[in-house]
Amino acid sequence: MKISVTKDDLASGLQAVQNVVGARSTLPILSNVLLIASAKQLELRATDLEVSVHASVPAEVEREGATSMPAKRLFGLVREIEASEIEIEVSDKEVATVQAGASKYKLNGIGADEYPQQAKFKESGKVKVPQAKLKEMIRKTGYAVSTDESRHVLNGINFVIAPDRLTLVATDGRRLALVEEEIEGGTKAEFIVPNKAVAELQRLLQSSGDVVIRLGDTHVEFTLPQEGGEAIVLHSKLVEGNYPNFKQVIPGEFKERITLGKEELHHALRRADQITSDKANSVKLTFANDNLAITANTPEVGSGRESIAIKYKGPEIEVAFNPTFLMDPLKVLEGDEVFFELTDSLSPGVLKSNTPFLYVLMPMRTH
Amino acid sequence: MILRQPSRILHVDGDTFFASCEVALDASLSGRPVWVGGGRRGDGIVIAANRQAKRFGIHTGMACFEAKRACPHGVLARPQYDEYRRLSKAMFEIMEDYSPTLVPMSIDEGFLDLTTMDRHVWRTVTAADYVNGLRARIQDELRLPVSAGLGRSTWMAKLATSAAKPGFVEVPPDCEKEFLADRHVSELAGVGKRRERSLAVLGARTFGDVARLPSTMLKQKFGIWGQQLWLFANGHWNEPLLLEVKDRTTISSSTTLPFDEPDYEAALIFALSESTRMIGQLRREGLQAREMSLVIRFTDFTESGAGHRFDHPQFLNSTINAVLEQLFDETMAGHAEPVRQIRLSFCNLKPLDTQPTLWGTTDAERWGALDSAMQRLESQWGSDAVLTGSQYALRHQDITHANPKSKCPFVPAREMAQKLWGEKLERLSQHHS
Repeated sequence: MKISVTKDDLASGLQAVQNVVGARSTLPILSNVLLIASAKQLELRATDLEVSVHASVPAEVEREGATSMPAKRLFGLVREIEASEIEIEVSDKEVATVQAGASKYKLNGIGADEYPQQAKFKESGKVKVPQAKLKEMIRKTGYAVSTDESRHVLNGINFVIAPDRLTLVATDGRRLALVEEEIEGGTKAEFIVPNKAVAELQRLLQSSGDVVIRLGDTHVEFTLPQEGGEAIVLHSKLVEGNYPNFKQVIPGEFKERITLGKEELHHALRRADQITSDKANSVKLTFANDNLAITANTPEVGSGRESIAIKYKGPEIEVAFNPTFLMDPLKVLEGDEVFFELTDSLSPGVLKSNTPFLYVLMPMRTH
Repeated sequence: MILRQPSRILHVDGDTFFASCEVALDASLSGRPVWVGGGRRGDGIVIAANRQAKRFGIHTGMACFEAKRACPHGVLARPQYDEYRRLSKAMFEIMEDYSPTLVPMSIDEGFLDLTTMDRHVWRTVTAADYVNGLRARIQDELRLPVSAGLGRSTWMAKLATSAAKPGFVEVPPDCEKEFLADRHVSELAGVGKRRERSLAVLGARTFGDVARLPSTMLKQKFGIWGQQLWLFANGHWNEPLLLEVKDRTTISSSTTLPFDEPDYEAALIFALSESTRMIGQLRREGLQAREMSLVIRFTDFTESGAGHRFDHPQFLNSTINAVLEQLFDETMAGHAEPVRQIRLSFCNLKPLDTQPTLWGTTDAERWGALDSAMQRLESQWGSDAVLTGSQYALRHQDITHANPKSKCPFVPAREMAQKLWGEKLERLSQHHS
């Protein structure tokens, strides 16, 4: 294989795929990026066997061929190169010579035939969503996923596709974030995209253009067209198993609906959170007489009280929450107001905004 | 720390504790050289020798057969750790009568706060009368000899005890510098080989030498500890006695198998059973673990180990034991020698998350309830009333595992305190921790 490619093209191609390569991987070849040179383009692929990302960049191909090279090193090298054109020539022994201006490097690669094959993918349905919309939906739900490896069905975002609607749900069992957007030309499907793929997707999604979601039995593929270039494709295994019935935990009714200033609430919680500890990680919210009092009390640290003026005439409600859980959605929601729906101190509270967003949070028990 | 009233801290330490316990348990041993043997069968190395035995040159760490050669008429006692624990508890209970603040340090030593006693209690007696009264009571009621030292800080009290052994020494507040002047710095707990060498480089072999050094130099070299050392050497170190119950940061177990185990399957069952016990203990304390490690020592004393860190703290036997099996396989890969010792530890502990979930009670709560029910059954019917699969397998695998011997009680101060005061302490620790 012998190619010539601009530094910017190669750097952006590597930038798109290299993040999938883990710092510590079980197979040495997984630290490498696969390079395939064919008819005027260089295809790059990286995988950790669960998630793989493909990108293609324009290149002048003198001799077609394929190889794999250490991803982090190659990316580091290309980023530092000052010349605008880079030439890569790979010998029969899989040694790649990278030449740019006055720099010349030899990198040991591994044969392309040893690179893991992509799993067979049989498309059973597809849907097109604006990239900006999906990015926003992931931002509003992604923080609520579970990272507990003993609950693997929760280690991802649940995508529910209906003909006219796309719903994303994430939960770690104690809180649940749900966001719903209208789409066109959807099918009927439900699948769980693992955390790592979600993080990669969030990194790759742009603020313009569409993303095509192709669904298979065990895999999903996100195709992100690039301006004036080949699309980046993210291919991921799906989380196996059934997502818990999330509709069942969304309270159908509530007793009180309280409007709160988002920033004011967020800042008060951030201050009160300074008083909490590992052992006492709750703040108490008391709604009464047009006032919301937020109190934190940790025996070995101290105590604090915040007071926020609200419109509330109902009976006194006292409810304790993990402040981190309560702050998470406030960080990502737009708009000035949030709405808190409560029933009593033991039932889940629901946080809503002016957008199609819903956050269910289980109170903590206080003694 | 500057206090208006100089602290008076008493250190009480059992003399050759394990050996003295043996004499206390069997009056016929009185006056004879006695040593307690450790190791697998209780006849490996000497872990304690009484004064009569020490006269024959028998010391801790010596092989038991050598001890026998040095003193043919001496008595080798096999350790009875449960009995030592019982006597230790009784000893601390007596000590508690003498001061409101007792801080146990290990199975046979502890500190008492006697500050202000001179104004309120010792109207007609001296400190020596009071402390000797305590020593006599332990001797009379338990037949255990103890030594004691009284000083302005725990450091000083401990040094006074070493000076006193056997007996009692008081270092009055204004005589500290004099008492320390010719004492070697290595006598202080916390001065190991490295610090001793660093101090020697500065020309300080005794506390007197330390007192003459500029305090800034010690601070530069040793940080806060250096400054404390300087204050101590000059007789200015005053420290109130505090019962600090620190949170558990780790749980570990190290077991030498009753015989070298060539069957790795059997060794795995042992490790699983041990991990089940430790995880249960953690859950009862409201904790879960994020990291675990396993070290295996083979017959030839070579070691191999592996560790794992979970993304999220774990408390379920099933999750943890599945990883433990993998670690075990990793550790054993390429080995064929029989297993001598298994060491298992869990660290990076986090409180159990008991917040109810949207889908009802949490696994943590359900397991917590199961654990406490098992503990109730065990306290009533014995430790084998309820067994997990791996524990059951272990019991049936080999008769030597059926009645595991109690282990040497090197108990951290926190657990000592917990055993003495139990629930009272938990209330205490909420305020202090």
